[in-house]
Amino acid sequence: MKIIGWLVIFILGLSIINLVAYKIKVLAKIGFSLPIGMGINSFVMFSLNLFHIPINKINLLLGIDTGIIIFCFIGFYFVNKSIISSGSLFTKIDFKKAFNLNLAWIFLFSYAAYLVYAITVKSMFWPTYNSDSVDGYDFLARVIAREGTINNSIFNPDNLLIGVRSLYPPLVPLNFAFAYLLGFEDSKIVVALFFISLFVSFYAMTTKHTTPLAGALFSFFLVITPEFAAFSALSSSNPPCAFYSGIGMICLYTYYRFKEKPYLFIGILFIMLAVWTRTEAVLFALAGTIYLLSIPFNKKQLISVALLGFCSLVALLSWQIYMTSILHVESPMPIIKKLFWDPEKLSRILSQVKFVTFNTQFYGIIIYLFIMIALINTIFIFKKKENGILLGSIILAWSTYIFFYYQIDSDFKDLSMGGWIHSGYKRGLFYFLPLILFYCANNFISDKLFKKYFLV
Amino acid sequence: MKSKQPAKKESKQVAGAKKESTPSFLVKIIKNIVILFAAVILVKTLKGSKEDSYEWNDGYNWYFTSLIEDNFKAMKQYKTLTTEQKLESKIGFNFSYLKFLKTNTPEDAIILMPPDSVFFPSNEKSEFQVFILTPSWASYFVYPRKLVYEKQNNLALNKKVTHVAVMNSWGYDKLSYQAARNNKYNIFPIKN
Repeated sequence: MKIIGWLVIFILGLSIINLVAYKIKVLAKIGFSLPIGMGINSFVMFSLNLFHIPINKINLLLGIDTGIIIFCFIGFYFVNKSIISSGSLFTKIDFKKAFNLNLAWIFLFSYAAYLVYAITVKSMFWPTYNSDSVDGYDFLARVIAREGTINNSIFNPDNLLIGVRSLYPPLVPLNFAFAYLLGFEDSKIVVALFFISLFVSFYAMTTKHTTPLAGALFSFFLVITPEFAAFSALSSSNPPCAFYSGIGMICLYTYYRFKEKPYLFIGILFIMLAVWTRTEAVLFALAGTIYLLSIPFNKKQLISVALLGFCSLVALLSWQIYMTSILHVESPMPIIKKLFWDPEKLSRILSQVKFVTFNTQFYGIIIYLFIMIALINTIFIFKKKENGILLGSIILAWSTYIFFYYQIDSDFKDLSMGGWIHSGYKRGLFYFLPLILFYCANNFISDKLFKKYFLV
Repeated sequence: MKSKQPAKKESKQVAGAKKESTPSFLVKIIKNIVILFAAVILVKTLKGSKEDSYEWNDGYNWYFTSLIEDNFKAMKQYKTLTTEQKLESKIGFNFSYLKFLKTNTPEDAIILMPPDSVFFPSNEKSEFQVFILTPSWASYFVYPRKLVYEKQNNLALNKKVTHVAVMNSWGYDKLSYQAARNNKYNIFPIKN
């Protein structure tokens, strides 16, 4: 049942991709399938919950997922009739181009794959014990799996057992619950699958823009980021959100650069799922519009921007409305809803942000590498306009993220339990890692190095 | 005749470009080895070693030694442990205590927990960690049983208590009968 369950989720994701974005890279399809499958599965569970249908009947869930797969296959037949009739349904994989077998590539890619395996094995060996999950996502998931509803006994006003992390959007707890329903003793398989998918997807997307050697090198940097890898071996919602927001932004950038529409659809879906994982990811919807607005403006672009905004808002509001009107609880984020100016607070935030961001124990040399490459590339910013857009989107997203913390109703003096910046912001930086490393692999200087001097 | 000359020139240029873009086998091998060497040096420098770690690579050093190598050793050492034993090794006495409550009560039990001062007496070192005082954290390990803490001031649930988690001399007065005072920790039904 365990294998069948994840296979159904994989095929569900794959069939959605084939329906809306048949022409994307095969390796990207492999990397995207499970996260998309899990995202759709969580929508199915949430919808059933709205109609008071128990969501702990695994056969019912797998049946509905299979129904969607069949629907997608039928839809695929009608949408891609011309491709099917031309006989070019199965695109040949250019292995030479995808894996460009040189010694450095073999070394870096196989070492990175081994490290992904090591983190996955660690994740599977130790049960959930980190307090974030025990007092949050995993507890909610266990109760959902037993009681069959999101509005369960931990939201009972007579014995309210909600931690802050029980109130994040439901993608992660619903998929954790799904893992329990499949018979897993622990739900950490979900985070492990996201980590593997991120490695495959990041490599696939990077090599669409640059060489396999650069893809392998920066994928290696991604999987050895100390804090990110450590959290990917725990039970947390940050690595799944890092997948959706990071890869989503890369997909939207790919659409901007190559004007390949399939990446637009997948990018919008990923940003929507990022918001459905953690509310703060809505800032990527804002940053993502930079790519769409940088393309010569026409009616179609307006529709794309509207679609991105609409999908993100649907994900954001549906959970907020559910929380307030059905669960009768308030959002865990004490946000100040009006603009204000407090230079002392800003100074305290920035000094903590600086400490966390430039801490090599958390992110290794990635931040330094990014700033160095960005500074060097400012000289060539007009030679390669798309690099400037990519850098601009990162800066906009990052500044919005810091602004989000500025709007939190806290004076940022209390550092007990880590504080907002030392715990929340630190893990939130994971969302930027794929995008930052993607920029490091894709700029004027790196292009020169990898496409000319390091090309074997 | 005139029209043929540029074509010749063009074909020569293409041939030249082809020559440039396809380096000889020997050049390929050397380039391969040089780039591999650079990649190995980069990885080795990032990794460092336990004795040879600098501030800039301490995160990577921790990653390769503690997160990867030490963890493989631990997994080999503890490969026969059950999930509960693994949780005991990670969480400590908190887990052992909550497991004790779980195994000795029915699923529908509502357990009255001792106050904070009993878990952490001011003049003694406690075996517990502070998480035990967080109702939502502790409830995870005994679910579907419910825990009632005095500080929650939960009148509705207080009335429904079925069991008392007795600790040291605390809790005996909550029972409607005389219970044997033989253990430091115990769990008794509130009614005999």
